[in-house]
Amino acid sequence: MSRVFITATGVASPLGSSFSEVMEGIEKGAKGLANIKSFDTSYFPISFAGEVKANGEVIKTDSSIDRKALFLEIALEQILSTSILDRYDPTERFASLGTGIDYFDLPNYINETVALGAPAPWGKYVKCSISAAKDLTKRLELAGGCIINATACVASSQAIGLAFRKLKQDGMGVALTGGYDSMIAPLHYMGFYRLGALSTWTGAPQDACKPFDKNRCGMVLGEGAALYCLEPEATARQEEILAEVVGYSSTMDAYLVTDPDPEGKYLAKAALEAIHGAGLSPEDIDCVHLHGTGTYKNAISESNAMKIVFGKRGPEIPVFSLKGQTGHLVGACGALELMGVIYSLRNQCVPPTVNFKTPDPKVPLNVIKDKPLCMNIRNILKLNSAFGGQNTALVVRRYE
Amino acid sequence: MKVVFDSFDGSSNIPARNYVRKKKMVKYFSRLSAAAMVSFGKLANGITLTPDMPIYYATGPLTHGETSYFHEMCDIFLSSSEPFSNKIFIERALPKMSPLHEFGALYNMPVCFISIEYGLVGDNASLCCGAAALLEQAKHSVYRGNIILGAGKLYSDGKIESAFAALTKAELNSIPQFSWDEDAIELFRVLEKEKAL
Repeated sequence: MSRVFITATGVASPLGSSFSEVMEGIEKGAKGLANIKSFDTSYFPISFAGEVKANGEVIKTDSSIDRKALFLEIALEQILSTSILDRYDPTERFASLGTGIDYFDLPNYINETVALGAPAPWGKYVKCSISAAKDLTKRLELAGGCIINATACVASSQAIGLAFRKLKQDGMGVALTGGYDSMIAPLHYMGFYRLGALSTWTGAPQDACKPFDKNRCGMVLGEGAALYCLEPEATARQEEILAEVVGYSSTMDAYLVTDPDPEGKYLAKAALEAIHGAGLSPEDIDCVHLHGTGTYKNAISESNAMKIVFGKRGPEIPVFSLKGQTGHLVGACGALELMGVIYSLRNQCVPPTVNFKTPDPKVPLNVIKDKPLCMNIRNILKLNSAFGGQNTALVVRRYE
Repeated sequence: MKVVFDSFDGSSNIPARNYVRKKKMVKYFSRLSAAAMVSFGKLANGITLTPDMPIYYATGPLTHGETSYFHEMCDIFLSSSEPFSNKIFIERALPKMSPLHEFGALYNMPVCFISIEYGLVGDNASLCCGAAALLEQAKHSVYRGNIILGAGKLYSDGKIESAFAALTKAELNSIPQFSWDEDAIELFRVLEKEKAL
């Protein structure tokens, strides 16, 4: 069994499109949510989102472009600049990536339909989520294969978990892992609205996502990509190591398709399996980076899971959610939030959760607010949960 | 090893209702999810499922998915003979969109429904990948007991193939290599043939 290290990053996010911008954004408590700028939202009943920015500006695209494929390329460029993949034979390179649902170019499909006077050919306007990854596999000569995980909101954390397991068990090779997703386009954005899943906030958009706050009112969609190189102990270069992945588990609630289990039993099970798999006990975990969507039910489920995992320490252990700053990146959320974990390890602090103002007595968590909590941090538990009941837990350690 | 392989043509009724105790769940099913429930129901009949048993499921693209509401949305634009506009989309077409639309677009729904119906709470993955990727996922499972693998394929004419297998680690490791381009469903065609021999 090999140790597994994170050795490179690439990112496109609502906080910026470089690792340093994301680190700075977390440090400053930057708010990446705003009214949608990448497409016209006139007449839309709601238009908040966390859109990807480069050089401080939202990246705008034509509706024929699948934004998540573009973000994958932006993040990949940063990974390639490290030359880490080049150090490995193509047979030793593999990708394990998470992504979301397929993109559909609704405006152009409708326009052709109207021009034809009959439904236009469907496939021309669909961009399958895996297309970009398949293209990348060929270009980068990833002869070790490409595994695309599409388990909704845990897709990227499951993808990172598989990369971790492979390198831990095989002890050789390099993984390109992480996630890419965007649902910020008319069809799926309004699809989630129709589902009743989006924040009902009517105030300033940057305040729309309030993880764990008593006045939380739902989630806000985000978009982006976050990629990592994972390498085993035998080949990772010490000076490039950002953190060590030491534990992973995934479970299912088997509860309801629409809601998390309010008791958080299987989220806690994933957490305990990941902690024990890392050879640790809950006392060894210094802080927790939660899923923290800003919905009422997520907060209840996560706080109950914390009680199961940590017992009396459940309401005391410092916790954080990044989603108030970035929105919910769905198939890429776990991957982007791993950057928050790296931030905590590098800076030895738990950042404040943006928009958390009023504690909820029903959510007894130690959510850090207003200013960072500086402390000695060695092991961090990272949790995510999916619409549909899947949970993931990663344990990440400071490199020593 | 137990293998179930089903095929449903585009016009056939998929009898998922016969395979679920929680009938209210059926409204969320896409045809692919319904097919998965039927195939898994047949697999579960006669084997012992334990709650921690891992389940890994792979499909190809879902882009030939449920489109009935889409035709209704298109009809609204066709009847107006106007190009796409937010005004028509939001005021007239959107009300035709079912709130359940996203359940057909999410890749993890078949595993979600199976988990709920059968109380599976263990390791899992919903992949948009081929046979080699599905096997790679399963081979790196840390669970020591039997593993459940599944796949679905949606064809452009509406035909659906759906398959599940319960395997030991030894059976899993004896499966020959697949190329990265082969659909996940092809794995089960091979397993079914092997079983028949």
